Amino acid sequence: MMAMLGFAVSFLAWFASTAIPAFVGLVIITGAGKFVRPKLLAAFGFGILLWFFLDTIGGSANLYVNLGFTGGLNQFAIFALFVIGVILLFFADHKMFSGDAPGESFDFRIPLLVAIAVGVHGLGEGTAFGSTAATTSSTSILQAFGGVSAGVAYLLHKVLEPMMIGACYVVYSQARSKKASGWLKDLLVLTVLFVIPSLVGAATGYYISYDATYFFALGTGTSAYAALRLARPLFMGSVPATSYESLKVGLWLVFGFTCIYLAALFHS
Amino acid sequence: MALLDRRVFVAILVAVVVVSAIIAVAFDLNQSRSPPAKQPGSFLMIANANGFNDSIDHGVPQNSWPIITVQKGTTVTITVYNSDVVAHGFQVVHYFDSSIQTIPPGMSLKVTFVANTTGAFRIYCSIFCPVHGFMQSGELLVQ
Repeated sequence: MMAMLGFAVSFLAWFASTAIPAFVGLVIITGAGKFVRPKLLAAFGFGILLWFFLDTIGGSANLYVNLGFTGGLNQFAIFALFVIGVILLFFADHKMFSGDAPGESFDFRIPLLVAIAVGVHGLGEGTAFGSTAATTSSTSILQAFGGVSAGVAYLLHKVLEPMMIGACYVVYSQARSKKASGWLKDLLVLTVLFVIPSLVGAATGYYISYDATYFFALGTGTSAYAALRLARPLFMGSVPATSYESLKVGLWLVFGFTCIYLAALFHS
Repeated sequence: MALLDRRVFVAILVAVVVVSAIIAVAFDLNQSRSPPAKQPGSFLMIANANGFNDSIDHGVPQNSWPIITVQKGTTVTITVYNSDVVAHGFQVVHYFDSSIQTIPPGMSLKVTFVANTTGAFRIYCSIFCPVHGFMQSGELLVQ
């Protein structure tokens, strides 16, 4: 079928609507890190992650669980990719389960790995976008992707998802995040890592028709890394354990979840 | 390589190889799939980048599309074929919405129920995806 949307226009639109909100999201959350305790930001990020995980596993057709035992090689491949996603990042971060406290001996590597972990699902999203741009019968890029409401939903998601990365940056790279000079450069690096898989997916998906659920399965696995990295600071800290502290962490978690839930409402 | 030590480099390399392999396999598998034949008396819905049965060309989301009209008491069979590159969901309010059903690319979902309640029931995709907006406005009319 002849493409109804040109590659350059659709690719640039995808790039802009992914990279700019991602950078803005990182700036917001790391800026908030100057006023809000890292632990609470981690709770906020974890709230976002709960929804993100649902989204990503949904994109993988729930790892083909609806097929029962009849999925064959496809189903095996999907599940294997989930496993690879988990193992790959756990392997890359050999300090994952060390006893060091966040922010002390850790470095910029953790937010980098979280950016990869969260960004991988963009391969699937980008593929879907590229494929849609190449096969849609619409000549309007906004219409092709569900109109203004769906566009707003996407932009909001791309602001919120990198906040999981930003929360890890605030928690695990405390020394760097407090430096005014290197701060924006770090965020730029994190944005690039988050966006690259999405762009690769969009570019290849435009020209090649292939099944994107495999990428979502991989992304579901890698998100486990982000989950554990966001969860860890929730169980540490110098604040005494009180019901009030637990309530505060709970409320920040709900806040993060509610933000991404509201963003998803635009999509329905 | 100040920020990325050898372990991370190896992990990234493995990821690149894995992703390349996935693209190759997924591309190959995608080529061999074809939609199911329409069964007499059943409804066939094709999910793709243009929505359910080309919703985008039928004025959604302002208009409902596709619309399935049946008489009360009819046994309704709907086969949904996903010809897209991403998974799609399929739900019918009241009749088929008790669990999240997702259809992987190139696969079908066959749904059968008895239309025993009159009214208009929304047909929609239950998962988040870029063309999700076009799959929110289907309708089952039971008269």
